[in-house]
Amino acid sequence: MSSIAQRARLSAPASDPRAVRRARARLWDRAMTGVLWGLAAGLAALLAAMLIYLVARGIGVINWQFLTSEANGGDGAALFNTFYIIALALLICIPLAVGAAIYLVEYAKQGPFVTAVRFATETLAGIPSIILGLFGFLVFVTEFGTGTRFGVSRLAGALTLVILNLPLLLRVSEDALRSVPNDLREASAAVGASRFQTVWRVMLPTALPAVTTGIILTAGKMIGETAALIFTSGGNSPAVGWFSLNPFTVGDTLTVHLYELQAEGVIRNAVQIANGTATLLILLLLVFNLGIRGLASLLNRRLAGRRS
Amino acid sequence: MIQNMENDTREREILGSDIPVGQNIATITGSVKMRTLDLNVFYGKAHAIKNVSIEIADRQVTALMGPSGCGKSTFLRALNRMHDLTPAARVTGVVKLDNEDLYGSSVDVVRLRQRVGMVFQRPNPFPKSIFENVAYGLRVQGGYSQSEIREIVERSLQGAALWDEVKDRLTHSALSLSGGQQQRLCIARALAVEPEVILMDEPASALDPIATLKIEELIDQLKERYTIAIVTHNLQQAGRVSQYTGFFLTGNLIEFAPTREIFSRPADKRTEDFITGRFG
Repeated sequence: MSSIAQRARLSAPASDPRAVRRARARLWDRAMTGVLWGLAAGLAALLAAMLIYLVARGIGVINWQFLTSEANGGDGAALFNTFYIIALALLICIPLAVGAAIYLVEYAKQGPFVTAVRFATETLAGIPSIILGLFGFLVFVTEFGTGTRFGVSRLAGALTLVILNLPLLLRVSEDALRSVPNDLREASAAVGASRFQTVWRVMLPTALPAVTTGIILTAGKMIGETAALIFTSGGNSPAVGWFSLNPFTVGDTLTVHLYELQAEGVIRNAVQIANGTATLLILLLLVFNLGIRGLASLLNRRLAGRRS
Repeated sequence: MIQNMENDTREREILGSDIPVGQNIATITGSVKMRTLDLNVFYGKAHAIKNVSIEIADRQVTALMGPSGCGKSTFLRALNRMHDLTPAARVTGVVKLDNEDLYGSSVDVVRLRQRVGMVFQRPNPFPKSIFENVAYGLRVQGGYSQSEIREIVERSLQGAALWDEVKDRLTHSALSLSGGQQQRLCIARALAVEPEVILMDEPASALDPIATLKIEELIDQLKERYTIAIVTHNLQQAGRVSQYTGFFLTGNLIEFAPTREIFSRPADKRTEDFITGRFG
């Protein structure tokens, strides 16, 4: 057979070296696909196993009473405190971060100042949370606390959370504002809007979906904060009435509560409650993460799919 | 025609300017709405517009044409101080609107941009409803009642030949319109603040031929009430739409004349080469 005729056949005899090489390549391709698939599946399985194990241990503990009251070491207070501290922290963090982002994107001239700010925020982002927790303790609890109603309080905890999460929210807000196309800025200016009006009426509303996603992401991160809150807001909550909105009261969040139960549990069924708390936390985080995805796709659709 | 002004003093008298006057001013017959004298624009070190002196006729269409990168858009943006938004840009010279220097120290830029509107190459409606897009300029100014706004929005959309197509869906997102409709929306948005001059930076270059035709018809109607300066790289468009045409090349204004003249008897060889398509 001539070589042309040989090449024309799609399935060559096994002795043809080129065919052998092709077969080996096919085999290798299939093998590696299998390996990668296995890795991914293994990872997913590991995660699922972890979650199922933890949730299963504690799911039995969760009932309405557990969620809402403090009796028998119920998690009601801790749950409320978690939301309260996050809300308080966001209340302070959002205007700061968004305001700073607006300044950096719209008003600041690129130069040493902006570089310094960026360096500072990035360094801040890298500081371990326990150190920031200690900082919060030294500044908010001790310095500001002596002789005032401050001291270990949910406000101190919230402020520490602000410091901890400001870099993230700032970066997200900045990216959101920068991603607004420049021609919108021009269009607004061309019709006679001042710079602030452009920011307020065009840039911010357009960046809002991305900023909102960032806020929710930050909130999700805050759910898990422990080290920052142990010294600043948490201890065992005294019986203040768990619906208290007073920021100056002590209040432990779910994670701090979990830590305390594990480390110092003196109540009878500490282990049980710890399991329940852990389960609650995991479920909360799952709900949050699913919520972010849902919200993000909803907001993107609302924006007619043109930008981002 | 480009004339040499021999009598500097008389020029300064007429124009009321204290700065030395350019030698070659592109003049027109009839009333002048805007004029520039020795306009220079620098982007950092690059000298983008070199000593351009030109007169823009009142309620006529002036086309500015030239090859890519010749500076015609840069020139246009100097007329409504859009370069203020770019920190690296520097503008020298005089730009006058009805004999008032736009780069003077007491000029309110916001008010200026209401009097001299701009439509951009790519349609850039805000991600808001159609109604809110047109009403934006009014809301930004403030002081209009809701009924006044509704009236002006309708008038502007009619002026932009878009009303019939959108009157039933004013609350829909502007982004749901086609490209040509979006561009007409941007024109309506510019019309809403009742400008005297409309600057158009290649308004139809991102549109299909039918939409382009609609825009050109619109421009022809608009010139009854507004002074229009349009930048275009499309020669035929310049010929169809304008009464005066200026030819730019690497930042210089090479030739400026009534459109029929410049296309039939260009005075400069470079203009002729451009028109006949030898480059561009």
